Amino acid sequence: MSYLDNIRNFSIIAHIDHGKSTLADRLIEKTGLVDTRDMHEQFLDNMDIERERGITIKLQTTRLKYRAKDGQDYILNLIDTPGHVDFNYEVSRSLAACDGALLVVDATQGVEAQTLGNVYLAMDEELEILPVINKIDLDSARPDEVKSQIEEIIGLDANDAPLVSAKTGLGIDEMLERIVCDIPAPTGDVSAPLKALIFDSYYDSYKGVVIYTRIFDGALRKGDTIRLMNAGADYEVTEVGYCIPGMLPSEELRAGEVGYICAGIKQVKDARVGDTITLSNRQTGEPLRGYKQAQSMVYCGIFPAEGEKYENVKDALERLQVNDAAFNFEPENSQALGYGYRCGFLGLLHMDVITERLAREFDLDIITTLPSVIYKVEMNQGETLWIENPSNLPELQKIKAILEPIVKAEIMTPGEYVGTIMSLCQKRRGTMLDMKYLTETRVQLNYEIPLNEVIYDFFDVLKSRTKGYASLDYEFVRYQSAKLVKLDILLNHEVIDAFSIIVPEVEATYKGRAICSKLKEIIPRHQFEVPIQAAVSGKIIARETVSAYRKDVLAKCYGGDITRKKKLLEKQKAGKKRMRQFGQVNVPKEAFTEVLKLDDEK
Amino acid sequence: MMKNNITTNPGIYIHVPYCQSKCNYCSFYSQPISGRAELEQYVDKMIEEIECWRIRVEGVPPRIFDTVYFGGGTPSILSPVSLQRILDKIHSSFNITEDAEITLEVNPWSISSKTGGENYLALIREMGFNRLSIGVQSFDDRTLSFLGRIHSAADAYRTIEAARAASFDNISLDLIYSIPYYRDGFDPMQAALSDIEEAIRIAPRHLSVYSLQIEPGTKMSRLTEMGLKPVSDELDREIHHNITSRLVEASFQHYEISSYALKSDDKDYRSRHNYKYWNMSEYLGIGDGASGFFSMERYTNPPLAERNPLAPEDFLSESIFLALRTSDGYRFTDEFTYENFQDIYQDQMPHFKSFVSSGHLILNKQYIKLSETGIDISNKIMALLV
Repeated sequence: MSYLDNIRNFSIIAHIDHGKSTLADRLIEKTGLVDTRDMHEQFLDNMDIERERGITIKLQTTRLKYRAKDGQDYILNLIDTPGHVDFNYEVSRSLAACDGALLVVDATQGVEAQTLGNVYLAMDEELEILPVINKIDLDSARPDEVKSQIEEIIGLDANDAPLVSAKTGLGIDEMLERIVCDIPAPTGDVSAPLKALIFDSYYDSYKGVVIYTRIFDGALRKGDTIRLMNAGADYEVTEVGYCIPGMLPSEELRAGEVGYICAGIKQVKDARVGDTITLSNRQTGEPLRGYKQAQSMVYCGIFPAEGEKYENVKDALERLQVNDAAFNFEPENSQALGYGYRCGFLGLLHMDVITERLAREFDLDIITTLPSVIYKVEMNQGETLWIENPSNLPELQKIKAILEPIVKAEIMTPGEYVGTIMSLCQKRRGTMLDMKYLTETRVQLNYEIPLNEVIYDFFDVLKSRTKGYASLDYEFVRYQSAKLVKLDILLNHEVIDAFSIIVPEVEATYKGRAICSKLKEIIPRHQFEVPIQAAVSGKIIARETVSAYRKDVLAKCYGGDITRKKKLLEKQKAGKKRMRQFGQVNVPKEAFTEVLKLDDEK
Repeated sequence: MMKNNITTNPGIYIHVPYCQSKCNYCSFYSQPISGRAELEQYVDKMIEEIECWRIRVEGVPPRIFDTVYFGGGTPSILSPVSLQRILDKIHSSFNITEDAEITLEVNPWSISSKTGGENYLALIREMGFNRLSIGVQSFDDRTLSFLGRIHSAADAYRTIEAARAASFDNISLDLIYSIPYYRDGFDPMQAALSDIEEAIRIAPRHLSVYSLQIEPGTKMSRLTEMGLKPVSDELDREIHHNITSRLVEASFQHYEISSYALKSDDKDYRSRHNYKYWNMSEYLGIGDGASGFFSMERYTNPPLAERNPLAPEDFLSESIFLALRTSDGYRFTDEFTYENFQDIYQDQMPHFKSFVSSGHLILNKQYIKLSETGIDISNKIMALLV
C-alpha cells in the first residue's frame, strides 16, 4: 500500500451559478476543516469583487482530510477553478492538476453551454468525471431528466450520480464516499526526476510569488533549485507545503500531492500557469503538455483622470500585474487624454474586474476608453501591423487589408429563443456553423462571429433577449479580412482620438449617427454651441449639435436663505469635477464607455 | 444728490409662515391657518424669540438695526394688535434707527372689502410701518386664478389706493412673468408686458419682478407633468430683457436681478432690507423657518433647522457672488484688490476671461459685475466663485 492510494486530487466543474462554490463550502465543512460558525460563505472566493458578483475568478486550493466508511483517512485535494469564459486556459491547467472532477449540474437548469465546455476540457485531460446533481431541494428539480441529459449530451453514465443539495447538506456524505471510490488515486514515481505542474500562482508581499503545484513525479524540498522549463529560469526553493487553504509548510512535497512552493520569484508572470517545474540538476525529460503563452483578446486604454497622478496609475497597474499574469499593459499617448496605458485582458470580464479594482482598491480616478480588439493590418508595402489602438490605424490608402479576429461562439438556449438569437447573431455579422437540437428543449447554436461584435454587450443582449436562459462560450479561431474603416469623432471640430473606433464600412453611418446622438445626450450645454461630428477618412458622415445654454439664474433669493443658493452653486461645481476638458468642451468621464451602449433594439 | 438708502447696518426679518391657501407655484414653507388662537400663540413664540435675541445682541459690538421686514407666508393676516406687539417688543429690545425702513408684505386679499381691511393700512402706518410690498403678481384675473391666488386685480387696485390713502409713499409691487400656456391663445410675452404697462401706469416706487420657477412638489409642477407647456428658456430671457428695457425707459433702475427702483433726485427707493442680503450685512431671522446671518454664521430656524458658520473663504466668495446680483457688482478695495482676486481665483481666471469676452461679465481693477446678458447665466459665473 502506498501513500498515493489515500490521495484524491479533484476539481469541481460547473456552469456559473450551478452551485459549485456552495458545494465546495459543504465539503470543507463536512471534512471538519473549517468550523461551521466560521463558515464564510463561498469560502473559496476571496476577493470582494468576486463576492459581489458571486463568481470565482482567482483559484484556491484546499486540502481536506476525510475518514471514509472503510475507516481509512484520505487526503482530498480540492482544486478550485474560475467560472468564466475568459479564463479557459486557467481552468484547463487546474484540471490538468487533477485526476478526477465532479461535474455539478443544477437539477433545475440542466446541462448548459459552459458545462459542456469544461467537461470537454476535463475529458481532454483524461479525468475521471463523476456527475453530481445539485439543488435537488428545489421544487423545480428534475434529477431524472438531468441524468438523461448528461448521458445523451455528454455521454457520461449518470445513472448513479449522487443527488445533493449543497445548500441543505443533503447527500453530501454519500458524495464524499463516491469521491473516494470513483475518483482514481494519483499515480507517479517518487524516485523519478521531479516533474510538477504550475497550475496557479499569486504574489504574497512577504513570500513573493507562491506557486500552486501538482507533483507528478519525484519530490521537492526546501533548498532544492528548481527550473521552470518553459520560462527557462532557475530558482532556489525557500518553502514548500500544503494549502489548507492557509499555508502549512512541510518537509517535502511528493509525487501525487498538491501543495505550494515559494522560491523567491518576483512576479507571477515569471511563474506562468502551465509551466513544468523540475530540478535544475536532475531534469525530467519532457515538460508537461498543454502550456500556452498568455493571449490577450480585449484591449482598452486606461488614463489618469484630471487631477489624478500618472505615477499612481502606473504604480497600481504594476502592482496588479504582479498578481495577474494574464493582464498586460504598455504606455500609450492619446492626443485627447494624455499619457496613459493600453491594457490587454483575457476578455471583458477580466477588463471590468481590473478597472474596478483600480478604482476601488487603489482609489484611482481613471478614464477607461472603449474596449477594442487587435486588428491585423496588411500594408500595401508588405509589412503587417498589429493595431491595438484604433486611432493608430494607418490611412486607408496605405492598407491592403484589415483582418479582424473571429471567434467561434457556442450558444445554448431553449428552443423558443432560437429565432431572436439568430437575428442577433446575424446583426453582429455572425455566420451560422450549425444548429443542434440536443434535447427537445435545448438547442446548441454554433456561430462564427467577429470578436469585436462580441466584446461590447453581446452577452448582455443575449441574456436579455432570452430571459437569461441562453448561455455563451467562445474561443478565438482565426483572423479574417473585412471591409473595416476607422470612425472618428470630432467635438467642436477637433478629433478626439479617444473616441475613435474601427467599424465595418457598411455600419459606419449608422454607428456614427448613433454615437453623435448619444454624445449629444451626455455632453452638457456650454456657453457656446458644440458641434458633434462623426467622420470617416476626414469626411463627415453624421452630425449633432449641443445648443448653448440660455438660462441659469436664480430669480429670487428666498427670504435671505443664502445657504440654499450656495448649495446650488456648489452642486454645479461638483458636476464639473466629473468632466474632462477637451479644448473648450467639457465631457463627462463616463462618455467614453457610455457612448458604446447604443440602444440597439434590445 | 440722491441720498443713499443702502447701509451695512444689521436688519431684522420677521417670518409669518401662515397662508389662507397655498398658491399653485409656492414651494416656500407655510402652513394653513387653523384659527386666531394659533396665530396668537405664534406671535407669543416670536416675542419670546425676540427676547432671546435681545440678550444675545446686547454688548459688543453694538448693533444698530435700520430695517425691520415682515415676510411670509402672509404677514398681512396678522392683526394690527399683533403687529403692534411685535414692533413694540422689537423697539424695546433693540437699538432701531429713527429712519428705519419698516416693511410689511401685503396680500391684496387681506385688504379687500371682504375682510374689511381698509383701516388696516392706516393703523399700521401709524405704528411705524413705512414701506409696503404688495403681492400683486398679475393684473389679469384669469392669470391670478391660474396661479391659485386668492385675490383679484380689483383687490390689488383697492389695496394700492388704500395704501396711498394711508400715506404710504414707499410702495413696492411684486409681479410674476413667464406664466405657462394655461389657456388657448395665451401669450406669455404679451401678458408680461401688459402687466408691466399697468404697473408703470400705477407708478409705485419699486417693483420686484420674478420669473416663475416651477418647483418640484408644487401644483404647478404636477400640471406641467400632465402636459401644461412651460415657457422656454429662450423666451423667458427675452421677456426679462423686454421688461427691463421698458422699466428703464420708465425711469426705473434695474439694481438687482429681479428688483427695479424708481429713479428720483431726492430719494433712493432701493430696498434697504433686501440689499442686506446682497452686501453681507447681518440680519436676524425670527419665526419658524426664518433665515438669518449673525456673528459670521448663517442659520435657519426649525423646522428647516440649519447652522452654517462661515470660514473667511466662504465670507469672501459669498460677498462676491451675492454682490454680483446687484448692478453695482462687487467693488474691489484696498483690503481686497483686483490682484488679490486674480490670485485667489487663478484657476478660474480663464473662465472669467471667457465670460468677459462673451460680454456677460465686466471685470477690471475697480469691480466685477454682471452685464444685463450676464444675468441670464449668472449661476454659471457664480459657480466659479464657490
